[in-house]
Amino acid sequence: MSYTADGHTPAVVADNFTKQFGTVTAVDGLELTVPAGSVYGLLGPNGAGKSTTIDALVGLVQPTEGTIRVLGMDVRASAVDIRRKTGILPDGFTPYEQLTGREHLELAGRANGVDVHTGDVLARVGLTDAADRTAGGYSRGMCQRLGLAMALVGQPDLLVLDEPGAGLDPHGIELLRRIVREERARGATVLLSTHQLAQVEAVCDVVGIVDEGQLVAEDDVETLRRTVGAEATLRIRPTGPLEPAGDLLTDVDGVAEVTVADDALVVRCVDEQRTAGVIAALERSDVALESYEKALPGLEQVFGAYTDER
Amino acid sequence: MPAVAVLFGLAVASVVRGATPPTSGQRPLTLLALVPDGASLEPTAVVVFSLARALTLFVPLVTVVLAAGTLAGEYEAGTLRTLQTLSVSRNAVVVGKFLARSAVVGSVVAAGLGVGALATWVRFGTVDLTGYSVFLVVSVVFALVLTGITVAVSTLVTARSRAVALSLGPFLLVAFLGVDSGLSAWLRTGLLVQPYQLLVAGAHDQLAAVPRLAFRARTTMPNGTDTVEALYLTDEGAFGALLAWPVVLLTLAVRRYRRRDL
Repeated sequence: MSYTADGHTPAVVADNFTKQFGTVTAVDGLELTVPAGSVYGLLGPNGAGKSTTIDALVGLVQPTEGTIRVLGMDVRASAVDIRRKTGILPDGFTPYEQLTGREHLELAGRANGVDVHTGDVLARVGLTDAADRTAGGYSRGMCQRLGLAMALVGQPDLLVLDEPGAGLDPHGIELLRRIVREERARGATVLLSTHQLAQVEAVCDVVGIVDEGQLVAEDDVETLRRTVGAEATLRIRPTGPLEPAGDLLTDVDGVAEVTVADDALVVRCVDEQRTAGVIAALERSDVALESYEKALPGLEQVFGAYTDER
Repeated sequence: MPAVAVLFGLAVASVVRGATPPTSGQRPLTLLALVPDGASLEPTAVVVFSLARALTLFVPLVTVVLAAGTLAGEYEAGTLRTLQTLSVSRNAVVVGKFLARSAVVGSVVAAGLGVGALATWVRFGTVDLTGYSVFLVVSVVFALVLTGITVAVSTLVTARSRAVALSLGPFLLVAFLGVDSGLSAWLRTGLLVQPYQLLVAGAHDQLAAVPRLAFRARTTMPNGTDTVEALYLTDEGAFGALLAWPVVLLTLAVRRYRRRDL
């Protein structure tokens, strides 16, 4: 990538970025760094300031205070140059009703000064059959795929996707994840904003949690899980009756609660490390195990922990 | 656009069909006068006289219908955000949209007035092509001026309906105020209709602009020598007065649009 010859220049740096709409502060002194070559997930509840931040990165809204540098360029001075190297799927992408899918890609290609193999790009997002139909007849999911296709035109250094899963069916979601991984493998940086936790968990290297216009946490998914220190849960199916096993586990160190659900013991441990002690206690006893499975805290818990405590 | 072009062409043909010189004492809502100078009135002069009056209402309607939604409509639809995610500057978007709308409005007005020339030939069997062409060019310039103003308004607001109200309202107001004899001629210079009709007066020898006639009557020396004509009554002054509005408003609109959140 031309802007990161040293491989260390971040793709995005927001320094004290603040945006006010009248008396409402949408983003409040945001400090954000998106490493080059990463897939960065900007996660937050509705109204947290994600879309405002995304819009500011590409010059759709103007910062009230602070600076934003994208691909090494200041967004106030070089918005057009930034957009030339950035593929953007904005929140609520709206196509031109009278243009076909193919014409949208040609428009994007002309604007960015690149040749586009429209058929290839449309095939990549699964719109081959609708390539020559006007976008006015597209479903919401098809529009979203078209917006993604426009963002991919010209092999951008940075992909900025705002709620890219909106309107997509499960096949579309899977396709989106595949494309994000392919783009990362190509060397592009991907910044995606979403409130869909599964999306972030599936593809992101780094997660930034935004709440009330501020970055409240930032790390990889595993580290965030550990930071929260959330509980782990074991679902245990003994070969014999549940009650003796349940009585045994109640007294094991680190077990917070033992309940029964769906013919299994649900053992809530204070942290992941304590689950090993539970299994060891069962093995030491005469309780034989049919099966057991461990559930680690998901991003739901992490997200909840960071956004509820404020 | 085709529907607007057809309606405009029909309206122009209708005016040509009913074109007659004003009768004595009539106030035909225009600053033009027919001056036969002892000869009989030529059909082209009568047609241009009638059309120049009608176009002060027709052209604003055509322009607003075709141009009010330029940016405000795209903002409402959400496609303006789509457009601005591409690598085009905001200046380029406004200027590009203005040029595109100018091409559309200019084509519709030129085509409609082309129908008017044909209707003149059908009705009278003759057309002064040179004079009519001058009138056509001046009228297209007038339409482009109104297009510039309408696009500027459309850039400044966020709803097509507001752009319609804020451009058509003032246009209709100046269509009447711009020919109001109660206002001084220099003040009317800023109201678009007078500069347009001053330029139209140059299309035919039998057409004269009333403000010029009045100015000369006031300022001619007792020995018959003319004084220098006021700048705002010259063709150059009229042209400058027409251009000033879209240039100033588009400049303001671009500056505002560059800072706007989309």
